Amino acid sequence: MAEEPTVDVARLMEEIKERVRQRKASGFYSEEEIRRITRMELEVQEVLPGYRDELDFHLTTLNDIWDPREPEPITSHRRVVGPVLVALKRVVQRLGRPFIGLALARQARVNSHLVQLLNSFAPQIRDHLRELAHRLEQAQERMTIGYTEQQQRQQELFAQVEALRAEVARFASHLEDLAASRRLGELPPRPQVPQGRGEVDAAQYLAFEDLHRGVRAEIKERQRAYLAEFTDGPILDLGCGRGEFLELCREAGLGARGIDANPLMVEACRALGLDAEGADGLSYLQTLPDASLGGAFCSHLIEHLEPQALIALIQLAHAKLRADGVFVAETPNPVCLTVFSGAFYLDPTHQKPIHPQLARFLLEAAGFKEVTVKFVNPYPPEMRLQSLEPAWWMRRIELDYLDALNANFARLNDLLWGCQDYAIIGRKP
Amino acid sequence: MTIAFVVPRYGDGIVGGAETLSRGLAEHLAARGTPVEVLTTCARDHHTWRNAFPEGREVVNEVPVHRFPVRMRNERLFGRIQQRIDRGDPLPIEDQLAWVEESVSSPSLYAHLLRHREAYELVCFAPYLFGTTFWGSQLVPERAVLIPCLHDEPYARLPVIRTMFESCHGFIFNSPPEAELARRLYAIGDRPCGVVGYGFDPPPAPRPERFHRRHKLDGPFLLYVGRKEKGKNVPLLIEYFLAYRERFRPDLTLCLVGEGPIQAPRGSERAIRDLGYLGPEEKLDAYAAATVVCQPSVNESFSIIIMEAWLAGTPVLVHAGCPVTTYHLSRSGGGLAFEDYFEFAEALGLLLDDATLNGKLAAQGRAYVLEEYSWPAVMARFEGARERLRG
Repeated sequence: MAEEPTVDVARLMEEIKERVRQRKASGFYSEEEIRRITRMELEVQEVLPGYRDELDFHLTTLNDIWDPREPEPITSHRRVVGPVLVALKRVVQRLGRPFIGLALARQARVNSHLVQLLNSFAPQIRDHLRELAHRLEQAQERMTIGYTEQQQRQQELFAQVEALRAEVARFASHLEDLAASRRLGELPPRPQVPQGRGEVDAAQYLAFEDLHRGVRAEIKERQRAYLAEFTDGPILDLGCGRGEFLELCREAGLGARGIDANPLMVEACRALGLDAEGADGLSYLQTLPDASLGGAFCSHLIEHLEPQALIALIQLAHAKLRADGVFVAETPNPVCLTVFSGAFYLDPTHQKPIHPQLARFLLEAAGFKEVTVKFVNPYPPEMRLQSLEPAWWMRRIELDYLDALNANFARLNDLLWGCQDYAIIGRKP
Repeated sequence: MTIAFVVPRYGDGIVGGAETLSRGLAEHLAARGTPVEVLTTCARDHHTWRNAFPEGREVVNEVPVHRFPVRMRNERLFGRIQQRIDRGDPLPIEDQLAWVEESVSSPSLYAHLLRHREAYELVCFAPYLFGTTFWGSQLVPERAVLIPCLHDEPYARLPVIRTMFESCHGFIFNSPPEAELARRLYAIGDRPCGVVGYGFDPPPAPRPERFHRRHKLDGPFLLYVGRKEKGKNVPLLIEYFLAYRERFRPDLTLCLVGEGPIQAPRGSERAIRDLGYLGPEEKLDAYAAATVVCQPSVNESFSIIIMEAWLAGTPVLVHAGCPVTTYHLSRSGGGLAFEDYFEFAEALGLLLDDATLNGKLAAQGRAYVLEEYSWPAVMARFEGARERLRG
């Protein structure tokens, strides 16, 4: 299921603030309404602990006690004489009040004017100060944002400079490498193979192939499946070896010729009445006229070639095929790992394994269409890891373990004991 | 070794952030096989602090609870000093101590702590305001862990409270902003501490339609859950709501759930429904039925309410002046915040009108709670804090 996009609350809050600004600017809220709401907020917040406005608190207190002539309440904590003392004090207070009132009248007037002055100015000054503080805060906020942006920009520039510096260093090192490669000529030369050494004897190689490639009848049976790919001759079997495929073509009534560099292989084919010639495959292909072949086949040849020779072979095969001609090449399958502990490194003339994806790419790059990869020659089932059977007495958890184990076996089987070879097949459009 | 929790009240039916938090932690520790013990008083009611539970030991949900009687209080003296603190008057040290002593105190609990101090690996005190925490932590400072549930208020700035904070071994906070506030107010430096918070289990499926039916609520409504008092900014919410309703949405209702002295203004009975205390099941239905849950308080150390709202699938609207709720909001994206009435009106309008946005914000909030405040996540943080506190 696709994940829902998240809502950015910070951005939403900015939009809300902007909308408030717009509404206020457009006159949506009347002056009176804004005043009423501000008053309401002050009234409500004043009573919150921790949010008391000290000025209002002192102003209210001053408004309560400004008149010094107001008598203080008279109380006493004594139990018996208390009420008597209170009554006496009240009498004295009452008798003295006119005189005290006279003496304090001027002070009362001073207090009254002072409190009135405070009443009219203090809240205004408070509000003004608040407004100023608010503006200061806003200005500070803007400055902080500006500063942060500047810093960000500066950091970006630094990063760009660093990247450029790294690029220059890379170029410098590349130049040094180039200079060094010029000097490679000065390095000691590759070891020279002495004349007459380093070649496997053709007879020995034939014997080796007989021993390891497999019995002729078996190989012929395996290659029978490729016949269906070819509808028309002539077919060229490059690296025809002991002539298994040539024989299959003859049986199917398709004209075919085999090419092999090993003269003993050619002899063996000819002994069977097959059309075979001793030559290097690439050189032979070049001699053929373009669009003269109905099909090209090579079994276990391409892994013997250097990369450039391989590319040349495929390009030449494409050139020499007629429209709708087919190219088929069988080679060891490097995706199956036991190929490397067995067949592949057994043969000293193998160059490097060809990955099926690479083979596909090379064919397509040469212009072949309908390119397919067929995995063939699977290991016999008895060589694969055997899955375990559940037993009636097993508990749920044991069955789960068994399933997991069998699943792991299956994965290992695919990786280690899958198909030993694959064939790459392409058609010239 | 045992972990002790010292709380002024403990048991079924006791409401309060610190009490709920301590109980949750104690029960989850016990369920994991950690030896744990609760030391508390016999009081049930936090107004009267009268001894209501029997003294002695009992086991509540696998947690051993040891109750001690509350010392007789001088409520008048307490009330008088409290008024002076609220007013911001300077207070002599003996009055501050008297105020702490008269809040709630239990000398037999202190004697027990002193006698058995060696048996405890850590002693966790919650919340910071009461005598049990103040005196208890002073008696075993070397293993005292304060779970303060702190927010900025005049009491937090009393010199005696500062002394208490600065003598405790370590702290467990509910949120990073709470820890920042503590560092700002007190010189606690690099004492070991952890930010743990409260845990939640995914609630059962709520039945909002049952709530609508029972309370005959047809239209959209805004919900407040918690104590209805000035300290929680409830008067501001009521004023804002009434102004908004008059101007924009005459069909909108405000439901208040919880107890407290604040009453809806006369004449607003149709607009404001005071539902009082609701049981957990009905409260869950209320959260799910509400269009928006509003938390106007600026004095929070964690805010269980916004977490419960998100779990029930409802977005929240919080006051931008509260560092804790805005912290949760910025990390979860589970609602909106307002600085003043105008932002309140815009944000509420958005949440009422845009059902898709409403649902997305709620889902973001819910995902946040399930990720950050599931019990396994909370207990993992507690164990991390415990390691640090053990040093």
